[in-house]
Amino acid sequence: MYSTNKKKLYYLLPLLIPWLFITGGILFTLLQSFNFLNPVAGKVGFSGYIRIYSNLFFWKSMGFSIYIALISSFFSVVAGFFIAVLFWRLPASWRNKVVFYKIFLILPHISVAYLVILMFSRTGLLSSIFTGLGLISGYEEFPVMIFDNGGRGIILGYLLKEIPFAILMVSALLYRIPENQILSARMLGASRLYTLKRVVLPEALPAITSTFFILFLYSFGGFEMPFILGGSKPVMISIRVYDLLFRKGFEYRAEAMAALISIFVINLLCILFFMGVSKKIKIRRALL
Amino acid sequence: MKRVFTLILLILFILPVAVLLLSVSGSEWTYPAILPGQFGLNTLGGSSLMAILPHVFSSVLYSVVTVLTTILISILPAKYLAYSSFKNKNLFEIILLLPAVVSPFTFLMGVQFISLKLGIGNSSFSVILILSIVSYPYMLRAFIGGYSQLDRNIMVCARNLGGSRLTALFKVEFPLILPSIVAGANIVFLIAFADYFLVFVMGSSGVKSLALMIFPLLTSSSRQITSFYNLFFLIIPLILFALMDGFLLNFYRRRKMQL
Repeated sequence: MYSTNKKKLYYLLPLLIPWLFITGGILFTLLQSFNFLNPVAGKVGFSGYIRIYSNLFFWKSMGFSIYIALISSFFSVVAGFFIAVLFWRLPASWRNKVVFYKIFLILPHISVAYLVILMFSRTGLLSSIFTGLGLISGYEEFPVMIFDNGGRGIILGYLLKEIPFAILMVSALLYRIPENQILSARMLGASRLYTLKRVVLPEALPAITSTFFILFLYSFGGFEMPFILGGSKPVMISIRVYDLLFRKGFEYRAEAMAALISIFVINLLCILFFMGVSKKIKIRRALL
Repeated sequence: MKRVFTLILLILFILPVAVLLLSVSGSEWTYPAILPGQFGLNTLGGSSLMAILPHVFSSVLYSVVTVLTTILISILPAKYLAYSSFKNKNLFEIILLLPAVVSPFTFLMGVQFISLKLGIGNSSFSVILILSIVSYPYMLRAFIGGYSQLDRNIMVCARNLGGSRLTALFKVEFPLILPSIVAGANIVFLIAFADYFLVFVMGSSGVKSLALMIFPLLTSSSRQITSFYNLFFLIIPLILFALMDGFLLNFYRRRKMQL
């Protein structure tokens, strides 16, 4: 008789292909950060790290990246949660109408950035409409929404791209909540708000935290949005590394790679932190 | 109240696409005009379509090959992970999903270096390689989900009833896992098709790509043509999703199975 109780460890072999390249890639970054494998051979050592860590602009870029990533992923997740709840409570006949939110999931970052330019630049559509309505007398009065140094444009672009993602992730969990659970809470006298807080939110919390971390990591290391919508200073860390790698010479290689290793370490720390948080959530949910 | 909010939200979501369409349909749309000054596709011309088509085709091609590659790398590992339990399995799964969350920039230059050494640098091969690396976790996730919901005994049953390995694979396992393949394929295609930066670094001048073509135009003043090119980012995936859905429905109808 045929059975499948064999351990087929060799089934995992195909994953060696991507992982050989990933570990090779990280190793390469690590080696070059110490000035190994550099066509313009400098002295092997920590000079890349020393130079980048003693550069004030590096820290500003790091801080700016963390700030942008925190703000955009936090507000994406909050907005995404409320919109998902709104869509989920709609009558069944409306459910397939809301698919339009997925437009921004389909559009790539560069297209969303382009749409932001079309709508929000000082000579964009919004500015035109405001002028037409007589709210402002010229485009000079329209607030600088993009290419600004405060990162408003980048955040705007990320919000447009990330809110639909958060809606998608939260929705998946919301539809798993048994309808009876909501009904009982309401019948036992819980207000709408209380039900949202004590029944819906705990159920959605795993999706909310994991979405927050995914979005945080993505916007922290993302390249397209800040490149298209960002101002000249401060620049996000990914743009700084890009400049060092592609706009300056090989003598900046070690610095660029040291910055990349720093990004990698931050990424790993975030993931470890997330694993800790998600474990806690599970325990708390079991206790409730 | 709920419906009003929803309508407002939907309008907000659809509005940018309407703006995109509007800016394709007319020229001379500059501040402070609220609508394009001149409607018509004259300035667009057939030449701009002919100019972009090879790039669209190339993007679709490398994205589809990326999808196929991720299917090939993910299917067996997913099967193993769905049907076995071992110590620290969760941790192992998280590690396998890492390439999707860790910033690809951190290993990108190394992958480029290796692919140049292997002689596949600046080609579609290297583009497909990097896109597969960062998107296979989504396919793996979809497959693990699919296989966990699929009772392994069904496959055992097919073999015990005298089906050969291949019959069991193509007549039983494949049809049942197909929805997961389609779900994973949609995501992987989107990632590959939409990506600019990885394609730029790995393909540079050697690969035609819609994203590479559009990128320098984004901040230019030729809005009509840029909007027109951007439309492909919406249309092509939608066509593909429709095709996939149709294929899936048809596949199940012919076999009198239920989704």
